[in-house]
Amino acid sequence: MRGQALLLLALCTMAEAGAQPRIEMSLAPAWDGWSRPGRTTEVEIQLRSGAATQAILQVSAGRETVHAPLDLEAGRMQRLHVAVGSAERVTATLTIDGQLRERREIGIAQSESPLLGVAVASGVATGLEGFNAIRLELGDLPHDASAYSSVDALVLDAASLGALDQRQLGALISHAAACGRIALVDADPGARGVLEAAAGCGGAMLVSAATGEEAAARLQATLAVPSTPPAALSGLRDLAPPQLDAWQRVVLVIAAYLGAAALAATFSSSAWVIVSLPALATLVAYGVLQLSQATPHLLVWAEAGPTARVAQYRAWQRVSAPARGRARVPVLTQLGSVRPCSGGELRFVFDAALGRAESAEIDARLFQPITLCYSGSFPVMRAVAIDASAGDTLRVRNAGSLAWPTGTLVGRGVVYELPALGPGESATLRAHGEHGATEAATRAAISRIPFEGHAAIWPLELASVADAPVDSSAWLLVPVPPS
Amino acid sequence: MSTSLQDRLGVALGLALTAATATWWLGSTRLALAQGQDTAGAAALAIEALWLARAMALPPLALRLGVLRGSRPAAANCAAFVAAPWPLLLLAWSASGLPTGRVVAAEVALLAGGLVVPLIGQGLRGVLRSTQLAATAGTAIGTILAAGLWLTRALWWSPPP
Repeated sequence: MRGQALLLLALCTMAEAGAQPRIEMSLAPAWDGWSRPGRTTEVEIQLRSGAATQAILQVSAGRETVHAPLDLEAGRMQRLHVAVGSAERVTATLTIDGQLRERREIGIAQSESPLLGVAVASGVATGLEGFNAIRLELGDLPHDASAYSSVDALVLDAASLGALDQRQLGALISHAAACGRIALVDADPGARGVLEAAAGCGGAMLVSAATGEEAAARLQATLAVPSTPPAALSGLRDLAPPQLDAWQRVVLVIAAYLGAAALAATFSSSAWVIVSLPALATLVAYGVLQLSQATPHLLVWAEAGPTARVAQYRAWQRVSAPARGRARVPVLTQLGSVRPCSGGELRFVFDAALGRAESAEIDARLFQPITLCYSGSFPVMRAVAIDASAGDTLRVRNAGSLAWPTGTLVGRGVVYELPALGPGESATLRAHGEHGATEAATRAAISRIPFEGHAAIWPLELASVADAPVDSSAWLLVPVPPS
Repeated sequence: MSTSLQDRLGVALGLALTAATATWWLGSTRLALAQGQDTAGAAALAIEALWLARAMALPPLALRLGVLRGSRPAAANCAAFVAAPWPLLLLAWSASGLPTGRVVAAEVALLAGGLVVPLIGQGLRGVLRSTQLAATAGTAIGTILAAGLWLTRALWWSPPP
């Protein structure tokens, strides 16, 4: 009798231990499942567990993977918004104790035509010639600014704008700051003011209208506004020289080995020494590779319109892999949206509590450059005016309300040293022969402006960026309007 | 050739091969880094070059040394020749995308060849009873083997992806 009771107790304990918590999981795309090839979109994952448990969520989109360790609370719905590349299939899996528990897969429609997102609660028909219009519900709008790259234009009405949550609103403001093409229909003046204050490109891409038809017409007009393509790393090659620390280390290792082996072969007659030396050197070389630390480099390139209150920036965090194997690069969280720069396989480790990636992992090879791309905006007020020019001299005035530090002015192939000027102050500049340390940035600036134009360039301090690499450089380019 | 030089022939050839390959590989890698290009291809080519050069040099070297010096000194010489580029191979493997098993298997095959082929050279001297004739025959056979290896290299070593 006692034995039977013990057996029953043991069976109950085993059954309880083997019982898996009930899991509810859903996967939904932003933008009603639409995106464009090569762009970024977002997926929402909703999770509820019947019991508190630890789980691993993995979202795969093409060659990009997001890996999120989760602490699921009993009965509590957890929502995650994850920015991913716009692959045709996006898969989410949930693993508990190493066992696959749930798997969901969705398709992302890839539009060849430009996409017009229409989030208009009144249901008014809005379209743009040549655009593929997609009707959006509130939940279709993304929470990560990078996911706005899926659409080429967006129409929002007051109801939709007012219903956005904090993160959606933040992403929309960032999109407006990044010169996103947005039309507001009958929007609340307060909300419109917030967006107008943040809008990049002098607000040229943000339009307001009373009706859907008017919004479409005004959006159509923005298509005629010329836009400067964002800076690319390939265009700023001078500012991002190749990272040679790993290469130099390898040269040293090989030179040391050849020297030691030549000495051993010359002075030792022992075959044992001659044969064992390469094996020993191989172990030492392996140790050097494994113990080497990569030296990261950060380059930030920002541009602001002549009278703009917001500058758009692109940043590249570069690391040269010190050895073959998995390389982990910490994400600089203060630099806005992070995305892989190339189409290679990459895994982001996602912090579910903070709702953002905390590091990126890649199976790298020695010397392989690993680059993470960031984009965002920051407030700025640099207004440069050229009052007169004669020969190699320029009369420059600070037309803004804030002082600027010492910088460089370039134009028509000539470089000028730009002194620090307070609001309203002027200075006469003469062509500057020696560019010194700013030479590479000056060349980059010249490549970003028309030959007849002028632009000012200033180095930026990255003191506010936590964990910014020591080897960092940041620049702000402000074109000067024609006088 | 003096006995002392013969004993160091393997390591000298191995180090010369290592230095030449390292110079080419590091130079092409430096250029690729400067131009923002992939460095894995040069690393895979360096591994392939090291393997092919040693695989082709090993038969004449091992057979001739086996005839002239006997199997044990010849095997030690060949082992030194095969092992000399190992540190460079490790670094190039680390920079390449080649599977580890393939690179290790190639080294094991070379090392095994370096230990076995000298025995054939020693046997050749025993069969022909003339050191000079055996050395000439060993060199000729080794050269034919090396040529065969070169002509059939596509079967032994597929080009890196």
